[in-house]
Formats: sequence, C-alpha cells, structure tokens
Amino acid sequence: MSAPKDPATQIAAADPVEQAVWKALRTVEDPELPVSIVDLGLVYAVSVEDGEAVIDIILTYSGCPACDLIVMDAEKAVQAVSEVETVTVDIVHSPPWSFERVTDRGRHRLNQHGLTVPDGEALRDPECH
Amino acid sequence: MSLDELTTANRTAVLEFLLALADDDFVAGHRYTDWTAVGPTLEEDNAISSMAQDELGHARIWYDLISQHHEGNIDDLAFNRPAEERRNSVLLEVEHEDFAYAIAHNYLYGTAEKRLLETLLDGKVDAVADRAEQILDEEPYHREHAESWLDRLVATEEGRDRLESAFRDALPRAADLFTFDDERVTQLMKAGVFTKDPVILDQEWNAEVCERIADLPLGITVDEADELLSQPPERNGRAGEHTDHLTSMIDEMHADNLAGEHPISQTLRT
Repeated sequence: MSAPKDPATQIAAADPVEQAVWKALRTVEDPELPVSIVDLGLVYAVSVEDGEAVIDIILTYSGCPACDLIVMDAEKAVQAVSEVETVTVDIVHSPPWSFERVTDRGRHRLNQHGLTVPDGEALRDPECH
Repeated sequence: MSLDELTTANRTAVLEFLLALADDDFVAGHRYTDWTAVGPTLEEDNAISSMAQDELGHARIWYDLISQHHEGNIDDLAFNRPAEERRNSVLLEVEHEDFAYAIAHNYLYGTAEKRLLETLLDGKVDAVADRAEQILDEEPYHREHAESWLDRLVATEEGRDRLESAFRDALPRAADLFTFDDERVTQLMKAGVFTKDPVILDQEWNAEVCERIADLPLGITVDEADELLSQPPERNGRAGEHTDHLTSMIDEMHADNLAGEHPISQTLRT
C-alpha cells in the first residue's frame, strides 16, 4: 500500500463535509502529547458518504496504551459535525507511521515542548525554555 | 485479498496459526511484566516493561483480527480461554527462575518470531501481511536487547552459570516453536498465505541459535545445543499441550480485582 498524502494535500482535495471532519479531528490530541492527531500524521484517510464517516487512523506504535482513548475522542469529535450521522474509526497497520508524517505545525508544537523530530539526517534543535 | 475471500478451510488454518502468534505474544508479555519493578537495574526495569507492553500490543493486533472471525472479542480471547485452548509455545509460559531465563527466552523467541512473521510478510492476505510488517518493524529492539544482555551476562562466572542453566532448560521447551500441523502448513503455502515454508525457517533458525549459543563461553557446543533443541517436544503448545505454569498464569489473571475478573470480562462470559 502506498503512503497516504500529507494532511494538507488531503484536506485541500476534500469536499466541504470531509474538510469539516478533518477540522474536528484537528481538535483531538494524542493523550500523551499536546499535539493534534492530524499534525502527528496519524490520520491516514477521511471519507464521508451519505452521512457515514469512515476514518483511518494509525498508531505511532502498536502497543500504544492510548489506542482506545484516541478512537473514542475521534468518534466524539467527528460525531459533532452536523452532516455526519455515523462514525467508524478503523485502526490501520500499513504503511507504517514515521516521523516524516508529522506536519510543520506538529513539529513546531513538539519543538515547543522540548521534543526534537528527526528530520532526515539533520536534527532540528528543540526550543528550550 | 481479504480473509473473507479464503476458503473456509484456509481461513480456519490461518486463524489457528495467528492464534499461536497472538498467544505467544500475550504469554511472553505477561512473563516480562513479572520483572516490572524488580528488574536488575532501573534502566532494565524500563526496558523489559516496555517490551512487555509491545508484546501485549502485538497480541492485541492479532486477537483483534481473529475476533472478527471468531466468537468473543479481544478481551475474551486474551483472558477467558482455558490453558488447553491456548496455542503458545511452552517455552514462553514457564516462570523465569532468574533473569537469565528472561534473556534466554527473549533471545530464542525473538529470533523465532521474526522468522514466523516472515512467513506472512508477502502473503496474499493484506490484513495479515500488513500486521506482520508492523510487528516486524517493532521487534528489532527486542533482539538487540537479548543480544546485548547475552554479551553482558557472560562477562562474569555467575552470569555464565545462570545463562547456561537457563539455555539447557529452555532449549528443549523451544522445540515446539515451529511444530505446526504439516498439512495445514502445506495448505497455507498453496493458498499463498505463507510465502516461506516454516519448516525451512525452522531449520535456518535452529542453525542460527545453536551457533550463537556455542559461540558464547558457556560450555554448550553446537551439537549439544542442536540435540537439546531437536528432540520432539515433550509438550507441544501449538497443539494445546501446556504446563501448570500456564494454568497458574491464567488463574492469576482471574484472581480478585484482576483483569479476568473485571466486570467487562465477566459480562463477556455470561
């Protein structure tokens, strides 16, 4: 399976209802980091057809103890979109998540919290406070 | 291809194989948790607890897939099956007498699991191959952990003695790791679910581990290691034959206030 496109490209290509779903997902944070699951690159796909929203999410690693929380938070956020009637969140396993999926905004947020995101061979310096 | 597109016989065979992988992960994970808070160093405590979490996560991945075609949900599969319905290798269920057991088990299991997952990696069933790929991506750390501890333990006489005892005890129990039903293996090879024959991977694994153990300054030769490993297993966990250690582990899960007795698990059973 080929890698999903980055969130910005996917959001730009989405229809208005799907864009609203992406916006709702942006409010869902990883329970262990104050960063949106969209900016961490965990949302692989969003589709809405006839009010049925289907979201594909990957976990940063399979033992992630926050799995159920992320799924519940995502369902709740998307359910609040007025055009959405049902929400299905599928945990996917391929292609593997990597740091390359983290958006610039996500990198900035992680930097602000003192975490450096590996970026190819060069590592960015975290902002230390 | 999805699991639904397989013939019923092939689907049953692959689910049975996945159940063995899931049970291996689940039982291995639980034995690692025995070291949480009592590891030999604080750093090791962290490392082995983290490996326990990985193994339980991998068990969840397989139980989740199996539960889509099986009675009961993930928790039911994990907590509410009696020992005779479990398919994990006997190697993994036995209590660790000391820390050398944790390392011997991690080494033998980590190297075997890698090969078992490789049988699935390029198979036709995406749901299986994708999961195998994700788990394989997360396992190299476990093998690095085992390798670095093998070298560390043999640095002292006490470490060598304990590790040698652990391997002498563990090798015969590891004999069931690849002891799957031949007919089903052939069937899954034909169906394109397995891309590498587990029988051949078993031979390669056997050669690899015997050589590595003989290379350690332990007084176990390649031939001795091979003899310990190549006897037919006294109990074949893949066929549901287990020791009392597994029953005790399951009983412990069902002790007061523990997972198996949790209201959620109870609801599932009624």
